[in-house]
Amino acid sequence: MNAPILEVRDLKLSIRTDEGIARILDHVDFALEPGHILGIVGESGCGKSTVIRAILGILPQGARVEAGEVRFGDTNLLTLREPELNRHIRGSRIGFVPQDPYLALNPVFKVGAQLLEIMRWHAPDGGRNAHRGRLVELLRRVQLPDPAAALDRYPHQFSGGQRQRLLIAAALACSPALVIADEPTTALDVTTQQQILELLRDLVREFGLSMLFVTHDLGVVSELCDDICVIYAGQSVESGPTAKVLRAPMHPYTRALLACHPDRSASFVGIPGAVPSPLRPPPGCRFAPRCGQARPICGQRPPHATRIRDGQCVDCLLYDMPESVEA
Amino acid sequence: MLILKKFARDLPAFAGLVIVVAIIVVALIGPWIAPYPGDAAGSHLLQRLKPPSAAFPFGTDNLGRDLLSRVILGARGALEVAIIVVVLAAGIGVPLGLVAGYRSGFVSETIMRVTDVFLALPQLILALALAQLMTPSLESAMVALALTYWPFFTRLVYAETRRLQSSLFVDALRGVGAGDTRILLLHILPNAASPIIVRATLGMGFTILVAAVLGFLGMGATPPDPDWGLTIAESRNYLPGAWWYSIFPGLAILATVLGFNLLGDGLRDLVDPRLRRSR
Repeated sequence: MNAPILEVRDLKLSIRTDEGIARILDHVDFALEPGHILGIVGESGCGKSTVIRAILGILPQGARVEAGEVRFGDTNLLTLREPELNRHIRGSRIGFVPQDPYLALNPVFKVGAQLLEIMRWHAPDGGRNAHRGRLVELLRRVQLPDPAAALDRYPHQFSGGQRQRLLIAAALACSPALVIADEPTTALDVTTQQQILELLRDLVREFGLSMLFVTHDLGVVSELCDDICVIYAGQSVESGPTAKVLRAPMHPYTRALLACHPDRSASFVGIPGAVPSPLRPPPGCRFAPRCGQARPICGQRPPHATRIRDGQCVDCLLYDMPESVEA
Repeated sequence: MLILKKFARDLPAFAGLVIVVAIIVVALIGPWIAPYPGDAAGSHLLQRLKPPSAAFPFGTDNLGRDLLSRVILGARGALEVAIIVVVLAAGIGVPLGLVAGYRSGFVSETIMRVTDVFLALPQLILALALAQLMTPSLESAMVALALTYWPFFTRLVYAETRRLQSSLFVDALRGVGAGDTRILLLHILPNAASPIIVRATLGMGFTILVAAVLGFLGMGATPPDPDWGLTIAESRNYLPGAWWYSIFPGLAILATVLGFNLLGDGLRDLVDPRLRRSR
């Protein structure tokens, strides 16, 4: 196993709200190996996007990282200050593909101006024409039709898929080592989604990137991602190689989630109960109140990561007992 | 160019544009088209209070000056006041609105509460009070108007910034390493430009009206300036006999304010389709 390019360790984050302190993230752990695509999966509201924002340091006001580390290479991003992040990390070494391509470009400027602006502020010494040439090349690579003319058009003149290609090109513009994609395909229709996924997979291989891919769609993960990390209510519950986790899920939540997937179950199954409010999270395992296999101790003591085998890792007290590991 | 066609089809807005352009032209070339350009200051007591005639289409005032010339010459002053006041007010209000909208916290709250205090008082009353505190002159009237008009810009820009700063493209920009200043000035401000322009256009008309009121009350322009409000104030003693004395400067104010308001409303309809009247 190589040294991970990005490692999030025991991340705890809370947001001050009018109703009190919301504990959005509570021990999130995962590691992304170089050249891999790691999928972060979870229901809406589980804190997937917040994890990304914590990594990039673009948290909303009132949010505070209480504990944990975000190691990118050998720096802890959480200790860097805003100007350093802007100059050396965001956009230059970590590319970011935002969620909804319809809203992620400034509507009043031509796309060329917007993309060139990013390149210019990260590499001010490259000439204007050099940047332009490189950008056209990049747009051709992301299969945007007529890339040279595209620079002089406004965002609303592109379709959703085309805009997502533009945003991918923007993320790659400054040759980052890591790309973070926040549900890049959710707002697109299925066929476009397929093309974008293929494009992303090819780009990762071709540019030697690593990618953090956030989604709620297990189908997308199984197709695209080498590794997976499942998050429930701000806690990472299970992680490991995608094939292993999806074939043999260990955590009761992962099992329940897979059972909900319409491809896999003949009848529609849900998970009883509702996601707990981050204002008053249950004291132990956050899934315990909805878990069929919960024992009294699950409601009292938070689980910790238990390594199972072949990189699969699960946060559940069921596997804490020596006798249940074989089960 | 579609937008120009749409604008041309909006009759009231187009009329407003024509009026505004006409007034700007008159203001620019006033001294050359006025029949008696010397009447800005001089007096001819033998011809005082003559009714409209071929020689004096708008009649003459109590000092025998041609009212048509004075109305034409007054356009420049009125527009100057309007432009200076609106630019000053926007210069104060827009940056404050940007700052208050982008970050929440003590600074933002302070700015917005001060804005609320200003907006709670009628602008005219506040401007009168401020103008009264200073020596009566056109300059102090302009300062008073600018100091009471900026909160309208702050409110508007604050709301726009609030809306935009939580939008995804700002998030995306932060994600690729754009600093706050860059986001505010290069991305949020251009997005807020159209409502600012609309507000400024409407503000021009409003300012001309309030400046005329200040002139009328003796807190703005001073004699012998060919100020419209001042002229109406001087004409009061000669009513109702010399009706032309107050009617024509009054019509000038009416036309100018109407022109700016029609234009502003038309621009707003263009910019914000949600408010567009169905026709």
